[in-house]
Amino acid sequence: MELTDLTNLFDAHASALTLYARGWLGDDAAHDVVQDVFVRLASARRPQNPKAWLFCAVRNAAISHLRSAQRRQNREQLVAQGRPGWFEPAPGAALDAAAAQQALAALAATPREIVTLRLWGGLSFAEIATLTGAPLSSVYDQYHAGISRIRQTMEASCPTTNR
Amino acid sequence: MPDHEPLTPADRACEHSLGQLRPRVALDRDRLIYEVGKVCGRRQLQLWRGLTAVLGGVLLVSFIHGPRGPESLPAGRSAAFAPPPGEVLSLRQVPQVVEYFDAQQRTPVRVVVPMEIVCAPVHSQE
Repeated sequence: MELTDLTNLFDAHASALTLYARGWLGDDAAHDVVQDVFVRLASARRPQNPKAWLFCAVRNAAISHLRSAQRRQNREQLVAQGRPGWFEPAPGAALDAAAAQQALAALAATPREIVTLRLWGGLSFAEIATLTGAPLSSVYDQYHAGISRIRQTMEASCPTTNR
Repeated sequence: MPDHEPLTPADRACEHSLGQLRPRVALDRDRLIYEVGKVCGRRQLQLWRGLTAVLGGVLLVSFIHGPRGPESLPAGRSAAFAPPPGEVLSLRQVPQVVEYFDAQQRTPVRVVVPMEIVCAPVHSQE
């Protein structure tokens, strides 16, 4: 794959991929996984849908990394080691970045994965269904439930709930 | 998604606000490019090492089984002209070294003959 192509993909998706990997791993491990996936992509043939390929590769690598990490310590300890700051703090933003991170982290694994893929990964519901292996209707239901749950958790922060 | 209820306006607004948050990037693009270069370099190095090993093997085989050079032929014979006893060589009969290759016996031959009989048949000695 061409280097310019790779850097364009990096600029477009690295942040969302890192956020996605953080759903399973701590900060450092998430960075390592995403970087390894990009290095693999550099030496591979360009996939038909690079975005879907990247998210799929990060998912597999993160789960594999998590399994090996679980032999040493459980997931809760790993997550606790992760430093805060999943989102860039934006002064004018409607939502507080730290509160959004807390609400997202409080979600169950599956809705959190689906919300992340949809909102920050920009994947369609069909692509998410293919990636996770779940039925399309289930993906939509989980997404819906995830957004509602985040809104309830952040009720004080969400502008619509203050009306 | 026609079979499912759409998001409520409140959820829709929350979704929109969440979507505006930008995930933090702690990855360094330059580091990624460096890592990619390292992997490519390692691959090229392996290619050159493999090529060198193959060429080295070919060279070794050619040394062992290759055609032999003329220096490996049997040692050459030499013959010397000796004037009959009591005769003295005149200036025109100065001995001269002549070398030729005996095709029948596949050996190089060196003989010493007087100039006058260079073209005459020579009796060779082992």
